[in-house]
Amino acid sequence: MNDSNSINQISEHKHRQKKNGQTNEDESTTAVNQERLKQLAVSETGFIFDPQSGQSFSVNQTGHLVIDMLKRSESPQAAAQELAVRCEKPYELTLCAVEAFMMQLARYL
Amino acid sequence: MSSKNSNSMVWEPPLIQPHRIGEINKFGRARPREKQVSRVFDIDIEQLKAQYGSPVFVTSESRLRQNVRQLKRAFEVRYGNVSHGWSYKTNYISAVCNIMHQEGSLAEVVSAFEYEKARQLGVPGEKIIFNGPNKTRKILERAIADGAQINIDHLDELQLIESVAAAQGRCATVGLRLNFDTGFSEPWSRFGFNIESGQAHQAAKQVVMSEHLRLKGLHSHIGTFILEPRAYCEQVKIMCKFMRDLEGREEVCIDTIDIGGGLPSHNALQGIYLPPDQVVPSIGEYAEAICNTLVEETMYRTRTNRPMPKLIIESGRAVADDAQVLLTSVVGKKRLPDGRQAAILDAGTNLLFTAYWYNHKVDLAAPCRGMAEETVLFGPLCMNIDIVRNSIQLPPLQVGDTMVISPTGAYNNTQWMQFIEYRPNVVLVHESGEVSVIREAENLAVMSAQDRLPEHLSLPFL
Amino acid sequence: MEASQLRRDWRHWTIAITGVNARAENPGPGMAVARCLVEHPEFKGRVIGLAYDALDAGLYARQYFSASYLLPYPSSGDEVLMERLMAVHDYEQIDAIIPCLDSELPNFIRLRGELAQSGIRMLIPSRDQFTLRAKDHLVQLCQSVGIAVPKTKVLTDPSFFDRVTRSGTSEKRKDEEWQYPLVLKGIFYDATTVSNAVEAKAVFCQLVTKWGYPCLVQEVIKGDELNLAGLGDGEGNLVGHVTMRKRAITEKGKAWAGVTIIDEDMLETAQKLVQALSWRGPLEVEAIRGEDGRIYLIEINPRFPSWIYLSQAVNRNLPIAVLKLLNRQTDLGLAAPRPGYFFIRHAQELVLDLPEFESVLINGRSGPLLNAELRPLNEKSA
Repeated sequence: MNDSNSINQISEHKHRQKKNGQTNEDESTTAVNQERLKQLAVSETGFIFDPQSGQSFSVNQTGHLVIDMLKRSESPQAAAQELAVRCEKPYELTLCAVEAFMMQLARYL
Repeated sequence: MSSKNSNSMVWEPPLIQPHRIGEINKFGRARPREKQVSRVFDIDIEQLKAQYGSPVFVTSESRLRQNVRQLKRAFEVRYGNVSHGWSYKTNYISAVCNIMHQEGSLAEVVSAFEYEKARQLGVPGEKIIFNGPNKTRKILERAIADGAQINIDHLDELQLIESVAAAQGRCATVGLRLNFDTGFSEPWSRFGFNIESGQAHQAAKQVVMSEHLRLKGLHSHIGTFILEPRAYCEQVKIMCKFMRDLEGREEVCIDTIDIGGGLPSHNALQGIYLPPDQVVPSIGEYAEAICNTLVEETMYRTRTNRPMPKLIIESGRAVADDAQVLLTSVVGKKRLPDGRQAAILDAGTNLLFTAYWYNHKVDLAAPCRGMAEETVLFGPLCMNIDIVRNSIQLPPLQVGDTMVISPTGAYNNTQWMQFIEYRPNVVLVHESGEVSVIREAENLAVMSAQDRLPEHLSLPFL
Repeated sequence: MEASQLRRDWRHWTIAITGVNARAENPGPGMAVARCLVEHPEFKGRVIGLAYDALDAGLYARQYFSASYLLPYPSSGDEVLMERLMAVHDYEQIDAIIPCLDSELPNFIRLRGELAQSGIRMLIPSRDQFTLRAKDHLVQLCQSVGIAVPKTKVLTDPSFFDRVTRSGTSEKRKDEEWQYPLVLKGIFYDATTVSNAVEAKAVFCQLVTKWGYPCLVQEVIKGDELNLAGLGDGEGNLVGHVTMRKRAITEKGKAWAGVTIIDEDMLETAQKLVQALSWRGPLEVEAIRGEDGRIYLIEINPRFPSWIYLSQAVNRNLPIAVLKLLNRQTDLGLAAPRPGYFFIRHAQELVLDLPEFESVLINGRSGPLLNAELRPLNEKSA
């Protein structure tokens, strides 16, 4: 009831190892695997399921928007631009946040 | 579901969080619906901050008085002959001590500093209980001359007291600090004389035989934050049995039974599963357990027409803890790599030493800006262990938000440490509602007052 | 029948049940309690599961639970629990709750009055009854009614284990009466037998990390393990009971096979306890018939055991009896005790699809809504 389960930690760990391998090959700014990203099941509620790893995630509203755009093959810059308009925030700020989000995604995908 | 202004969105950095098995429950660590608090002890929080800065400790005079009265009443109605010893180490800010003394509490001190402090405040020697394992000759000379009640911790101290009293041509009134196993908490056998091994009997005999010592009381303290009233029953039983044995064998009459402190407050001790409201018994339950046992165990005195011993309680935490809160402000926030929200506060374990063992209550004096999420609260120190709360559900925070941390009245104003930061103002809300500073914030002059620079080091660069 | 009339009869109530986790090695009692209700021929009401984790199987077991909801952990206290229960009540119009976990009972006990005001009934003990049967009060209770109990000590400091002697050694110490092996117990759950100080300290740390201080040590009594599931009416009477002997246990000491028996000594023990406590509600009496033939009380659990389905199997359905008592029905209609019914516990996989899992993760609930119009306002606007 209150203990985290070690099984999951193991799977996450393995997962990360695999990813590290990937990022070594591809050291571009966004190491997010486009194919994986497109396979993600994203629901309206912000629930995400990765059919390849079996891992599920929650994403917040802004993250949801970014993932939707990336899945449509739009660029991180375009996503940042959209956020800047919708949230009435400077583009530099949203771009910076989107880049950080991309790094987070790269850890999981 | 759809908002009219569907294009606009509340800004929040995009975030994705993996679900961790075993903790997938969005309601799991929920807090009561976020209520914005705006006042503490009936004083406006932002006004307090504006006037006295942040962080600031806010103390309530009425709460202190109310608590100590309640404690005394609980014991008096059940036993009658009761005194409260205000444990200085719990909070020795002068105003707090004098509130206690005005309520009739004795001073319970455990060091030369605390003894001198009590005397400086004007407490007469006979109203001081002097405990603690380190009493120097110098302070003992004063305490014996003042007629303080000294509870002896070990044999070397016994001899020291005897020699000081002899030199002064006086008879010092002393008590014996005892330790024993109640079966409920692990015995604190490092303090005082052990009963089971016969050490305590031997010490008592030594006191009785001395013409410069008069054995007046028995003292023991079974531990802190004792959640089990039955532990005190056992303590009283063992002490009374010791007293009866002693009185049967030696020419002595014990006047006081001092059961120390250790009563819990309503703070959430780390490592206790249920919240304090459910595990902390009421003062009445403790009083009932202690007094019933005491009446039973001292029945033999009534039968022989001798007076009942006075009961002394040295409760600090239960009296002071909820009479003070700490106001602190968010100075920065960040998102940790594991996805948790983190906030940096201007008060940390430097001021809130008790955060090492309590999960303090945290109330927000800021509007609730969204769903609560798991948050870590860091203090201002450059130490990794400076954590006020390791995991608490809080809504999104902003720089400048004020938090009310409670209860903080016990042990923080004494165990706080001066590490890289100045200690802040401590204010008192008077019974009249007026607010005044009872301990000024430190500044550079205070911090360097004790420094002495040798001549050749008077300049930083030559 | 009118809705208001239905509300007056237990057969049509909506019952919420907690403890619906069903880990294969140590299942909670909730699923079994629900099964007792839904398989009773007269019961026509709804059963709602209240869970503490998205992986609690009861959340998805549609054959027993019409819908399920996540609750805050017991350690969050009663205020948040009340808020959450009221939100669930808005959807489901609960008539009664049957709490099935020890750790949550203090919360429910505190909320009993408030919940009753909202029309939610519970057959649960008072705070005093709950405390007196707690593991750290058990010895006192047993002594007062003349029931044998293994020697037990409440522990907060693991240095105790260094002072326990191994059987056969003759070191003269204060704790010499304590010998390994010992049983170590968490204040709410879990018990492990340890045979040396190193092992004991490790288990102590695990128990304390999970359930907090204190921990209990108990001497090991050898013999047959007997369990009695019972029901107290709050006036000192044991109004229903089923006794089972464990025939095979898991690594954690939980029964995975057992058989109903009739044991008069065990029954007498339970009656004495229920009378001494004026116990109100379900309970499980765990005891051992020692090699000396005496009954030693091990524990009193303030709820039904996870093998409670056996009571429906022998026509002494105790969860249904709870509803009848709450409905002020005096005839509980229990058949005569029947020995010789075996149970064998087995694990089975429950399959769910993504949307169901998602619903629990995102909304904290699963199952079709009884009436979409009843949805609380805050969810509509969300």
